[in-house]
Amino acid sequence: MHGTPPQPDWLEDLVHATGLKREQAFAAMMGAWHVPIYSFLRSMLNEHDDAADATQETFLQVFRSIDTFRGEAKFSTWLYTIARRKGLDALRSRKQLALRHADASDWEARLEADHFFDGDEAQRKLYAALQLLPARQREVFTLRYFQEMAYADIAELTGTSEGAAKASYFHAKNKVQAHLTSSTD
Amino acid sequence: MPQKNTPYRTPDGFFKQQQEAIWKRASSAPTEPELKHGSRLGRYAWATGLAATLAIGLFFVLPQTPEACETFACLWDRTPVQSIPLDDAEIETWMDDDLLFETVLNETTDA
Repeated sequence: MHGTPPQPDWLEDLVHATGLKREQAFAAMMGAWHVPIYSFLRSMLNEHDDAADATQETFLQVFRSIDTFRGEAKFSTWLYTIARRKGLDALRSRKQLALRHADASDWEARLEADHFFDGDEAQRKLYAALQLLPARQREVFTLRYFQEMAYADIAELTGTSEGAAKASYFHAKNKVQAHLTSSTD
Repeated sequence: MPQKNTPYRTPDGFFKQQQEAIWKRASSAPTEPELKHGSRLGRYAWATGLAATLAIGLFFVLPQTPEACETFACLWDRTPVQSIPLDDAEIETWMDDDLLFETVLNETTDA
């Protein structure tokens, strides 16, 4: 028999409390998840403005539907599922679709000019290579490499099997390595 | 959840300001009955606004006869659509599309 996964301490107050107690629970949730969710969406959407909008929409959605969270999954998986949905909504935008036509040198130039990207040349190459990955592989690579999420959680989040998530990660890793090698030759 | 450091940066005070903005919006969200009442009142304002916008738009658009587009880029620039209506299945398929990366990869490794 499967038990329910452990949930964060503040979750009960976020669902049931009112007033200051609820605000404190909200602050605790934001303290734990604001930066990871923004980072996830920034990797998905690249642009700060788009990631900021999707982050805001994610937490508003969490707040509006927290009473529907049954606790059968981990809170983090539920949260990332909402964030991913908001990210996919943003990917449909004209601006994001136009970005998909950029090549590696376009991406490096964009990142160099981006005030909100503070990487050196090697990081620019890495992040440009990431942007060239198919969206699914970029998503899995981001969740595994940057967010250090377990394959089982990635599989649940993206609606694939654990094996498929592993395969996506290794394909992505190989492609990034191949691209970095070729660009330094 | 552990996080590797990334080179992504945000404006000063971004997280604090956004947290305050989210709390403000979340805690002042209208109740269901308020939403229903508001939507009835808003319907008239919305219709009036739409009619005014259409009238102004027609005033500027009708006298002009733009040249026909010869390129996709021109058509793309002219389309007023801001978001492509891909359904969930289509966007999931698109997420698995390797073509873009494979093309670039082959170009760089075959050279």
